[in-house]
Amino acid sequence: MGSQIEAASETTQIVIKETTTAGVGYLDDAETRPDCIVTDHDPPEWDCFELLETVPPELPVVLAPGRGSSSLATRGLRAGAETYLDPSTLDDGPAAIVTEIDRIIAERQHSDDRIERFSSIVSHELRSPIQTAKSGLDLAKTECDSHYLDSVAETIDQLEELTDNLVDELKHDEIAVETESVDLEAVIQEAWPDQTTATLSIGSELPTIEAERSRLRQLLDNLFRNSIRHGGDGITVRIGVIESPNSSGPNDHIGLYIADDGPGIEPDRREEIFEYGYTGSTGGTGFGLAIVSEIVEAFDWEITVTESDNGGARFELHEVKEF
Amino acid sequence: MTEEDRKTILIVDDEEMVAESYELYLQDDYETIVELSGGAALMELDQREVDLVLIDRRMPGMSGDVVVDHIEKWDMDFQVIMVTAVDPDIDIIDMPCDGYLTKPVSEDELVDAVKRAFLIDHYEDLIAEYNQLSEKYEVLTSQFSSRELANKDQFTDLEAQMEEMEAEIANTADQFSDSKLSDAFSRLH
Repeated sequence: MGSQIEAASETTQIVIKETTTAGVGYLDDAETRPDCIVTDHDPPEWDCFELLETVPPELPVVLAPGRGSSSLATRGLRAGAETYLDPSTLDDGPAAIVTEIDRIIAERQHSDDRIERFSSIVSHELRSPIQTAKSGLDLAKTECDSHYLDSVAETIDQLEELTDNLVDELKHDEIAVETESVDLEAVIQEAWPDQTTATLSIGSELPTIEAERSRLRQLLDNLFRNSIRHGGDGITVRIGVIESPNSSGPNDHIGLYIADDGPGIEPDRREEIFEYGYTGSTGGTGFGLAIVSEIVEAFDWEITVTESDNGGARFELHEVKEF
Repeated sequence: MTEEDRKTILIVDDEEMVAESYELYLQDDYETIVELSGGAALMELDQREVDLVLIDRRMPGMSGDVVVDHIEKWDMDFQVIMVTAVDPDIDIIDMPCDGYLTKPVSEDELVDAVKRAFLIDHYEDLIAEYNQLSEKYEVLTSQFSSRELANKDQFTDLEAQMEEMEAEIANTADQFSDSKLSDAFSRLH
């Protein structure tokens, strides 16, 4: 079928792999990700379910089995296939598959264009008022001297950073990171909000770690704000190195904890708090911990949440590389 | 630097507060003129000599893009820096501007970009002048023997002048804070 699809396709480059294993291997190694995947189902060589488990959810899969059935169609679509096509029921199976491939590619292109346009609008509409605020602040500083102006400047800087990150995320599927040596304690101090009476307690001898400074600051900033939002200004947040890290990891990898004495997080909510849109408080945006989770993934770290000694929330970062 | 030597910068942004802040950042070292629309900027350029234009891209009425197109068509000789919240796209390759800054910009970023634009301008002038001398040198060395030229004071002056300019070109290239740019210019001469 692969060669027939290739013959029927005039505009799309088709890469054919003879087995599911070879297909999965190609996806792992390929420098450019395909726009869509077409698969047969004839185990063990062709197991569409093995393939559907492996491919990322954003990559559409067309299930086109040589011997189809309604139960296979149902199972395939439930497992994440975008389309089910049974070539044996069609006048010209390969042509129908090519039409479906073209439709998927056009739809993806349309979606990419929309994201591009949206990110451009977001970028302009957010950056322009930030510039105006920055300009007004600098002009105000020539007329009066107030420590409030410095606080406003810091807030504007944060807004600018957040906008950059937001636009970055809209434009790219994954957060791009360029890691460097980062003084963890310095970034913690920078990330801790100024306008709070909450207490920050930093463990002794924090290491220099490998991370991207702005992303690390955003991660810590989000975790601190999350603690304060839920625990109030009387809360104490402790941060330090986990004394007995995961012994299976390499020697230069450590664990970090960020623990508070707030109300804590119910065990059954500890996974969903990292999802976009989830918020446990009225002032929450549903972005904070989701962004934390994405940064952790981009750094190749792991994050877990448990209960702290005081019954509050304890976030643990693992696989953090010392520099 | 005397008052006469001071370069003149035209600032164009429809947000008055933004334009005023740029003026604040630059007024110690440069003469500044502020205009709040593309049309007013073009009228200003028709009447006054400026050395550099800082211009927003997206403005009501005549956009910054249209203004720089006119500047190019009219063959005006000054540096243009776009300061805009519009994310740069591949189309900036064809845009007749010498610099592109994405808003929001800080005082340091703006001042650095302006210094850099003037430095590039100065560098280009030096290269043009050096090329003129170099061509004369080529013609003379192909026409006369080195012994004949050694006795000519004017030729000795030319050699000294070229040597001086080479040092100045190298020195100018070194002044670029961006080491990549500095290296690129160093390779050029």
